[in-house]
Amino acid sequence: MEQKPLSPIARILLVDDEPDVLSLYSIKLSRSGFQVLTATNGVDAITLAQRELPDIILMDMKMPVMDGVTAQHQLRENPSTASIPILFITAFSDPTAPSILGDYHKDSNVLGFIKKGIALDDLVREVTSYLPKKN
Amino acid sequence: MHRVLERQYKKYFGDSPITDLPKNIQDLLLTISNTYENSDSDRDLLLRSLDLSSKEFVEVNSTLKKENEIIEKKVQERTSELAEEKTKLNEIAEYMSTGAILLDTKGQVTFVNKAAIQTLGTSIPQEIIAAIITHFSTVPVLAHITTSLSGTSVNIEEAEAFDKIFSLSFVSLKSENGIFGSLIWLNDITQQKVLERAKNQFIAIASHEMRTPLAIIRGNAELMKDDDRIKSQEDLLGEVLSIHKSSIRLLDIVNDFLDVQNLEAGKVVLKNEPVDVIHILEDTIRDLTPMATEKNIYLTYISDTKGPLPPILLDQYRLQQIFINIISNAIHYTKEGGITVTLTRDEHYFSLYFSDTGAGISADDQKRLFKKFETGASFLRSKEYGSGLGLYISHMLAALMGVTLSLDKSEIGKGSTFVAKFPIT
Repeated sequence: MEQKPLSPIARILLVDDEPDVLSLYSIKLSRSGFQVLTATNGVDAITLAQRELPDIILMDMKMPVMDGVTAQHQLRENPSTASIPILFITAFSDPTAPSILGDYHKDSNVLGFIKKGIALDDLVREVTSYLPKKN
Repeated sequence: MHRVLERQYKKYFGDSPITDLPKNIQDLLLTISNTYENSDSDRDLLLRSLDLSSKEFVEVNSTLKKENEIIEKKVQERTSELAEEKTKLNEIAEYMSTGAILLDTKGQVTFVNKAAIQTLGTSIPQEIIAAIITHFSTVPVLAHITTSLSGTSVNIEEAEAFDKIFSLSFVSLKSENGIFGSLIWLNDITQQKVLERAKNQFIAIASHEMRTPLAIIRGNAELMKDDDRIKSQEDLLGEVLSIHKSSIRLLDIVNDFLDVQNLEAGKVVLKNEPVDVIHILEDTIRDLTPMATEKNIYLTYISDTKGPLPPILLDQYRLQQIFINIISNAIHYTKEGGITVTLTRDEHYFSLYFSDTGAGISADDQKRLFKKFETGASFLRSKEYGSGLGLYISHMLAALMGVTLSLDKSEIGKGSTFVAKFPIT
């Protein structure tokens, strides 16, 4: 079932270096009423976020050029983007496991993790639940 | 008459016969003589008896002496056995790889073995406990010593110190007479933990690599079965192609992980047959040309040598696997220009240079090019093609076949050149 269009339309920035992942989630989110912006690495994501000020960011962790964790830090430090909710979408089974990231995740203060492979309807539900309430 | 009495008689009565003396005196003398005789006889008896006792004593004494010698010998043997046992135990305690520190009931160090001295960097008893406290800062050492000295042993499964990982035990030592001390074991489990972590890391990364294609397969299948949507032929084709591509990627990843497991376990058996390397290369180039054409880049082979190359003893299938890996990697990272494979030859080797005009490899990435995985922040920024294990596998396979695979040169934005060197035998 398609979700009802969100009102007013929420703008989501989707960041992933995998074209097939980007295309899949873009299709689902736009069909669910989101306006979808896309970027393929952390640097482009920051530029786009500053310019477009999306309502929410859904970002991969492992990306070339700039990874998602670093991009999240920089978005948090910039006053214009600091309040945008950022969710990670990742293929890591345990994104905070030191076996993968060492202690790199420790100070990341992450809002939430969504695991790749989640049912598309659940993905939309999860993302929607983190949208800031608009008056 | 007894001889002693006879001497006395002659002194008093001279040679006059006894019969001249009154009868009562004669009787008295006779009684005295008998008394002497009896006394002599008693004395003889006593002497004989004493003589006998003495012989028996000597016999008993000799027996005792023999028994004593046997016992002494046994004691000596047992003592020497015990000493030998003790020496062995001491040697074991002294040279075993686990550090051992023995404390008496007052907590004073009475024994430290070599491993413990080596670990702690001191052999001075007074400094031993202080060294443990300083270096195992996360372990309440004194509390655990107190606990073990009051009868309860304590085990610490993992503690880091001296850039290593240890398991620690504070063992309460008890005998029938009560607690007689505490034994601290320092067991270096670094190697075991490193292997364990490598295994966990391998599983974590394997599941990470597989989750992305699986997510794409699942997601596209969900899009396809979405009933509310009017499906266009174009949409459906796109979804099917995406599923198809991801399923192949998944299979490649599984194969790569299996290859790594088998190569590391030494389970890969290679054929050793005469192979025409250039023929295999040309086959591979032909197979991969559509992939290059799709990206609008070239893929060519140039030979600098004259005449055919001698066949080389190799595994044909594995050699092709290496070629596919290097060339498809090059295609993947090249946006403009293309890939040129060049053959050169000298007296001992012929070499294949795989040059691309692609992205180039950063100095950091070059360091981990032929390695398995990288963790931490750099792993987050890395972008592997496929499982990320292709070059690691190719490098290992090449080495098994006596072929040297290395990065010849690379420059960011200009491209990279890999070289495979084949010895001519």
